[in-house]
Amino acid sequence: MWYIAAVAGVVVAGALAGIVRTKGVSESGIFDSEGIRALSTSQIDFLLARLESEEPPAPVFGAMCYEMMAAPPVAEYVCPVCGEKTLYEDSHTAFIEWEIEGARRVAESINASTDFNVVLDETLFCEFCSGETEEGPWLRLRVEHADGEETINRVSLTDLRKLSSFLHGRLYWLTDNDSQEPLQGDADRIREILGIPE
Amino acid sequence: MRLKSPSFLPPTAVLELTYRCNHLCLFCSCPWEAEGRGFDTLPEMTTLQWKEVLESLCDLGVSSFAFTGGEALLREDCLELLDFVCSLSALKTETINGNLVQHRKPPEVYLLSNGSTLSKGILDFIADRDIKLSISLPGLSTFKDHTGFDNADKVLTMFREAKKRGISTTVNSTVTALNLFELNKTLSAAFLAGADQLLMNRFLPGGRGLTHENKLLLNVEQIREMLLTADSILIKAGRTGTLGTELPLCILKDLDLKELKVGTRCSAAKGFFVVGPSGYVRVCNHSEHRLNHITDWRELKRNDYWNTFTMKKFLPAGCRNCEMIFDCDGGCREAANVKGGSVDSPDPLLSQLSATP
Repeated sequence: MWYIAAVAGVVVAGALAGIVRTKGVSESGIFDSEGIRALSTSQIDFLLARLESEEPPAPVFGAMCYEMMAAPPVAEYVCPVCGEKTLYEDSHTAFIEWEIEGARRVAESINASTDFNVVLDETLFCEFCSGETEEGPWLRLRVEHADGEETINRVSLTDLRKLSSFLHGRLYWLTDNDSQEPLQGDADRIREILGIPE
Repeated sequence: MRLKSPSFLPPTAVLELTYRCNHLCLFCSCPWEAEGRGFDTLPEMTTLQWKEVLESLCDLGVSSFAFTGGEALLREDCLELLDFVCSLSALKTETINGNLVQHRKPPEVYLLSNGSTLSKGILDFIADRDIKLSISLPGLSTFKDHTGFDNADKVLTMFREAKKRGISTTVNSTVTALNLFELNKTLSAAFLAGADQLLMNRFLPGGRGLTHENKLLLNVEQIREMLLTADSILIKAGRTGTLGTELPLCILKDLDLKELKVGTRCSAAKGFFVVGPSGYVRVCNHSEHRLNHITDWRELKRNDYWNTFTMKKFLPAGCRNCEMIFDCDGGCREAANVKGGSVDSPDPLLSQLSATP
């Protein structure tokens, strides 16, 4: 139930805040009783350092009992910018039908979890907006820092899931079947996506 | 491969032909049946206006039409409109030999009825036009308590007569705290009478149902009982079924349902939309929010309320950090709106949970 998840989130955040304090950086105030604050570059640097230095958690295998559904033959993509609809067939239908909404939600949560301006750019999916480009379609994440510096990276849903888990203070990320995989090897990719140099 | 769609409208239109109904269902969610909530009954569209709407929707890529009300058959021109839409061809996009193809096909047409005015003659009409028929059966011994009329036998007779004519039928059953105890018998009776599939709905507050919410609303345990009961009947009957209104994934994730498909994502304004009796669009039949008139459909994409649903910007605050946000919209967003005052309010089911000490 969502309220249990919310309570659990606060408990986890509290536990992580405890970890932060034992490392002698309690003033960083990364987490509070409400959960995650908007993280600054230095706070993210701290989390990255922790990710790289701490023992990675053991993987936890998730459920494999979900019924596999066939992707629909035609998928309808409605552009959040122009409002028009593009129709897809082939390998993109499953992503459009089942995953792009999750990507939007995670991107929103990433935006809320950082003090950067984070925008999911879906332009390449829209036949009306993408013009003559032969690129894509794929998602791009635009990250604008306080100094106006902008980083644009092609991202997958997996990238976004990992980033979201990382910004929630976890040392692992949750896969689409609820498995838990260590994030330790992803520090460089997280830096790249967020535009944070080592 | 991809193509520009002829419009951004969803592929299915639910057409509420009339406000009128000859049943007084306790659970009715039609917004015009809610007392004191300001949903006026504006004048119904004329036959000609409906025909113009149907023609233009077919050109805009809407290829599936569900006729409902109120009770659609109380409208004198209902059969005329059904006949008209069946004579049209709708622009439909399909994959043929691996290619996306836009071509014209007869639209899929559904008639949703409470069964009271169905007759053998109307069933012949439906069979001739390959219309799919859905009839309400909200209980057997509790039918009268729910609808105000003792009509269950007539409904079962209509299923039998429809079966004789080869009509594809759906039993549409709204489950409440008052009829859950006989869900097993209700569905069994419908399938024995020949119903082909099930569309089950959990009672949701809205319309006249708001007045009776306290005695009708199911709790989480009852919802789970409803799902398991329906699934077991579907398995025994060799039928399939769907739950019409999405549920929060967290309350059903551990259930192993075989034949009952339960959605956890809202398809309002994405999979379907509603044209009300007066021609105003709503995102779904539960919604109390009239948007643009269907003749101004292009304006919908500039309508914030419409876009809230097309872009699913309605997740309740309590769900935003949930790991299930990839697969779940937190339950019915319009019922949440009716009860909580905004589309990101908790589903009434989850409100019950959070209110529990």
